[in-house]
Amino acid sequence: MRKAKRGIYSAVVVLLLCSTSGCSGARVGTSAGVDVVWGSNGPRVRPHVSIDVFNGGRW
Amino acid sequence: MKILARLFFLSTFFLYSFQTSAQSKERPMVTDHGYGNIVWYTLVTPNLDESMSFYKTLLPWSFQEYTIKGQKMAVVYQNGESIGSVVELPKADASLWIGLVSVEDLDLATERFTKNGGKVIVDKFSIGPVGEQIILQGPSSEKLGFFALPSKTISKLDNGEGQWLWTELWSNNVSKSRAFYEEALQLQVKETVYDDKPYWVLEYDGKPKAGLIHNPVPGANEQWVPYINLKDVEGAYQKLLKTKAHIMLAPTEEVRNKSILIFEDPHGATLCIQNYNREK
Repeated sequence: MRKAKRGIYSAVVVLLLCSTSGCSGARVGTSAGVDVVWGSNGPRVRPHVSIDVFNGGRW
Repeated sequence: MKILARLFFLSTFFLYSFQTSAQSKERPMVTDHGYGNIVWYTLVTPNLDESMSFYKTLLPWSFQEYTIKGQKMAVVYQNGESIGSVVELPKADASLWIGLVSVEDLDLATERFTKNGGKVIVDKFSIGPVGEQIILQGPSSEKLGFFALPSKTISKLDNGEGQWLWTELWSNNVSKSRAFYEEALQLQVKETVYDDKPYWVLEYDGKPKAGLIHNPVPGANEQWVPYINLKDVEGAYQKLLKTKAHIMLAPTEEVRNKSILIFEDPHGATLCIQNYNREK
């Protein structure tokens, strides 16, 4: 019974997250260091430069 | 591929026509271009009008537009000098700046490139007296082109305001990239350190041609990224905020004292702006 409750609770949380991210323009961060934006044409990766790694520029 | 080849042909052909009418008929020494120099940049975009409008807003550039047999393209001018071109490829998923590297022998350079793991994505095509070009893909899908001994200096790359300044490969595997470009382009690699992080300078005959760094965008593909020299980086940043561009790195004191701005244009091409005070 306890496991079933946990399962139901998890499913509700996942559904809530899915419905939120389904909104146009919602952002979800990823561990890969890029943002994904859900828009009218589906998800799109929005990369950002990590200042911990970047040291570029004209030498 | 044929369409892309035709686009590159037309854009460069018209560029040549304008150069010959505007410049001296004297043929400069081929050494003016220097092996390994990037002599031209072309932006491939799904929407020419939107791209021109965006870059006109951001940079001191103007465009001369052409439509040849229904094909839309434009030459980019900075202070009256042609510095690049834009070609429209409506079916393209995103826009992309492609740098063309000057080489002495196109066939030999291409053979070295493919032999070491690169591949040809647009076959060699001739631009009459201007020279020959080929569009390539490195071992990690990064795009670039070769331009064999252009007969005229078509882009001086003098590091002036609004001009091309530098190019970097953002690599997911520096050892692999380094080994590839050492062999494929016969470049020497000098390892240095900047900001306590390694930075590799790709050189030919002791002259720096490009940079190589660890990809600062984890999870993203490798790419060659061009830099534009601009004094007012903060002003460019403020302008970008009013557009559909995606800021990848806002000017910050932590990175070269606010002198660098990195963004994707509204169609996805990555470009860096740097305030580079070169001693002349």
